[in-house]
Amino acid sequence: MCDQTFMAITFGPCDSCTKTSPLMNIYLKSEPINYCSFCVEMMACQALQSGESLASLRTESDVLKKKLEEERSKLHDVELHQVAEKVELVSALSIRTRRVLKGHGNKVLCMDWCKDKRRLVSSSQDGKVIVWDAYTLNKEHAVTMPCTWVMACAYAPSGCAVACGGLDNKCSVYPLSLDKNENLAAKKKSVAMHTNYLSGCSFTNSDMQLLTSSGDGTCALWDVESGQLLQSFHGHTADVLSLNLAPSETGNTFVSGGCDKKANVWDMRSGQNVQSFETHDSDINCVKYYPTGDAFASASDDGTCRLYDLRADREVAVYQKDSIIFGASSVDFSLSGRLLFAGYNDYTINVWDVLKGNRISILFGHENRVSSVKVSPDGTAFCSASWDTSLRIWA
Amino acid sequence: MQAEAVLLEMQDPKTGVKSQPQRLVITTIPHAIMGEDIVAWLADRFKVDTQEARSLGGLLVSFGYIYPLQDHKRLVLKPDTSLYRFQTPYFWPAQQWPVEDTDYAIYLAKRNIRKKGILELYEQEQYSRLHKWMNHKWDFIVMQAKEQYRAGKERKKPDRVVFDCQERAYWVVHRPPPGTISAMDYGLNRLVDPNAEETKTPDFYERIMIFTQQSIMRPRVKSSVSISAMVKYCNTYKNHDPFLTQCLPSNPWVTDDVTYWTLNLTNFGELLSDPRGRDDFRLFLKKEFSGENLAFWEGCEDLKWGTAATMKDKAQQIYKTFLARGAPRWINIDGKTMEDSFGRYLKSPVFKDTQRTAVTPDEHRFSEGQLEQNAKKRRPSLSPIALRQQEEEQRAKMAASGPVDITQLCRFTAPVPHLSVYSGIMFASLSPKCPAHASMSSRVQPISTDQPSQGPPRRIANFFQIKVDIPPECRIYPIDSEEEEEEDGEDGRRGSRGEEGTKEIICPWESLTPHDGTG
Repeated sequence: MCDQTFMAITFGPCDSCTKTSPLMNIYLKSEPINYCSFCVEMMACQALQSGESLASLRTESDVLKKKLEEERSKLHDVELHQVAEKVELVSALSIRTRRVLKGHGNKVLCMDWCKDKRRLVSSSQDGKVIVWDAYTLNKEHAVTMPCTWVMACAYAPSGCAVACGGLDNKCSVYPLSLDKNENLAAKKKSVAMHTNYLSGCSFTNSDMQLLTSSGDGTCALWDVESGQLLQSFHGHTADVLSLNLAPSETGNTFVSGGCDKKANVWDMRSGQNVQSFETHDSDINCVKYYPTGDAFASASDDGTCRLYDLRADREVAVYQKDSIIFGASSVDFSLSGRLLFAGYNDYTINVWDVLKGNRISILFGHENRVSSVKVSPDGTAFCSASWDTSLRIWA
Repeated sequence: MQAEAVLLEMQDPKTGVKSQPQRLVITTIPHAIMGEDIVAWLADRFKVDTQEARSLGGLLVSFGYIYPLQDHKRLVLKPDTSLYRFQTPYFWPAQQWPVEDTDYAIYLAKRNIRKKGILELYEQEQYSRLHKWMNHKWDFIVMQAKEQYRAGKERKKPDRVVFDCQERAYWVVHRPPPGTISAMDYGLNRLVDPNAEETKTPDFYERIMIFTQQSIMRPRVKSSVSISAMVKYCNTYKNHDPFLTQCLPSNPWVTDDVTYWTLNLTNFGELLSDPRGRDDFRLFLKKEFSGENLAFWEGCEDLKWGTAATMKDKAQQIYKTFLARGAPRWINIDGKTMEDSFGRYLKSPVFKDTQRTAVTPDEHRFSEGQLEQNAKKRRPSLSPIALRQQEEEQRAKMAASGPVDITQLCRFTAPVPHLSVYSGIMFASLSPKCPAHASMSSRVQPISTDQPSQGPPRRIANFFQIKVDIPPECRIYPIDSEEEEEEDGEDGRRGSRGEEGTKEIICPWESLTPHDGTG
């Protein structure tokens, strides 16, 4: 539904090797050509033979980058806050803590909502993964991972399994069972394998595929059943810290952010990096799509959150304040996309007006860093996970 | 980090936090500051309230930029006359000195030598642990400690006291007493750019150039266009955002009453946003020979979010596919409606009002006591696993019992949230078989007209009203537009929905056309 169609990959004969394969639409001296990814790689490596020096290549690429910025600014005719001037102000919010989920023995590093709007899974530094009914505060399942720092966890769309991983460099899927005595660890399935820690994971629109990001600088798409690698995504030059799937099932794109300060948008089918944004001054800790899928927000150690519009192909807003001097760790949008909830390393959660760019509210409660903020599937509440070992539900 | 900049500002002799020499026990300590002054300064500097200023100040203390003089082990900021001092930049965490165990051992040994410096229990434990672990160089450590102690004694007393305080504060931050939250805990080391050396090869630049060139050629839209779409989205959905508009009857997290969730099981928007739900729905429509309705809806969604450049083409595409006379997937819309059908499913303030009043449960008004009761009565919900099991059993049963009568499906799957919408209302609604009136009005009927006429035509209107969460412009609105006058008020729940309300619909690429009569 969202407009990602122009990045659609085509299948056909490669202009270079003539084999029929997914084609990359690339440009040489502004001439469009269709090469398969292998031929693109080959071409990229042929530069040495053409006798170009490193210095000239660097200048050339810098010139191109400048040209890109020019192109981007050509269509930049208005600022977000100008358009939003006429929009009504957001009335005062009365967000308060409605639940405190206690049970982890150490820092809570990640959480994810179940589609049923009330269950959630959380993972912590001590290796524990807990499935809660946040509404009743019941702990329904618990798994102890064979490693510490379980930095990623995800609830399957069916609500019948969870995926998690961390320092074990793997992503494991645990089918959940109604039988309380059943040992969940026995049914564990190791799906993804990276060469460094797992930083994020997400099921795609079914229980059958898993998307992972890792400290090894890559993202990857896996088949849950067979553990087979379906597609890998190379392009970050440092740890990937976060990923987020486009909200629409036809989008077929996802966005990732990492220590190279870049936020990259990827085509899931081709594995191509289709867009890249580099305006943060430090590690990007979290990326999250806008509900339409046409934009995304990022949270960074530089203390700012930013909004990037994919169709305009540029950064459209920076959410920052003098008094916020510590890094932002996590962001999520309210259902209408008007509010941006952001968790910070200074133990607070700030609520931003996405359109007007100002801060609407600051929420206190956690006694250590906020590691994750996620809005529930129906938008009635959001959950924050913190290093203070608790999770809080706000509404 | 910008904390250092803030610290420098705070220490500005003119505009910074006011300080004065303080007598503490037997010594005078220069440049002592009070907790309340720190909070006031921060609140004034950043134009924030006291709570936020306290929170920010507290962090500066926990990072050791400011240290407490009295209760030195607790790194908190008390907003009263408690005394604090600025840490010397040498000991700022931003210096990123590797915090060495050897240094810590020397510090503890020094404190041990000093008669007054009795070690805390946790420090004693650390001391003996280090002693065991660093046995090989313990002589060196003790010698260093003695030297430093002697050097300290030669300093002037206020200097010595200040230095001792700074050093102690440094170690409280970096080797905190057990059970305290350490601000120094930053989590795992990230491997920033492990390939820094390797990347500067020609193909590194070639790749960047290929990518940049692709990016340059990428089609873009004007900021004004994409931003307007964003503003429009916010406005459309603001009444459906529980953080902005109170959800009715009440937010379950606030009142501990789950009516909102049970009501919204019959939420069409949710069904369509759930891929599994939509697949099932598509299957159903296929069997009912009305898949084009959903396809039409999807086409409209695409139109809604597509680039401005392609909008016209897409609109035409939709017209050709679904709306033109004899189109391949001609949908069941009467002739008049077809003409202006684009306009109709698009934004209309009047329509939005109608929508809001269509299904609006009364707001819960719980008393304090009732809220307390609710909180005590929280009930677990049926687990998704149990739901899945039920569903599978049901499927197995149906597979065993021969051909599927899909109209029965609804009854079996009723407890499943996203399937429950299938029950009754929905099915009839999108079906082209809505008979009777089709022949009466000049309705186009792509499928055979000899349908039995006991179908529930009234339901069509229901269908569009039940899906409260779906914004008006995604609606295949026109289908029920004519129903109004042809029906008697069979359905009392619907309330009076003004015919006129459906008329003023603005089509984005056409000028406003007044629709009088039946539109």
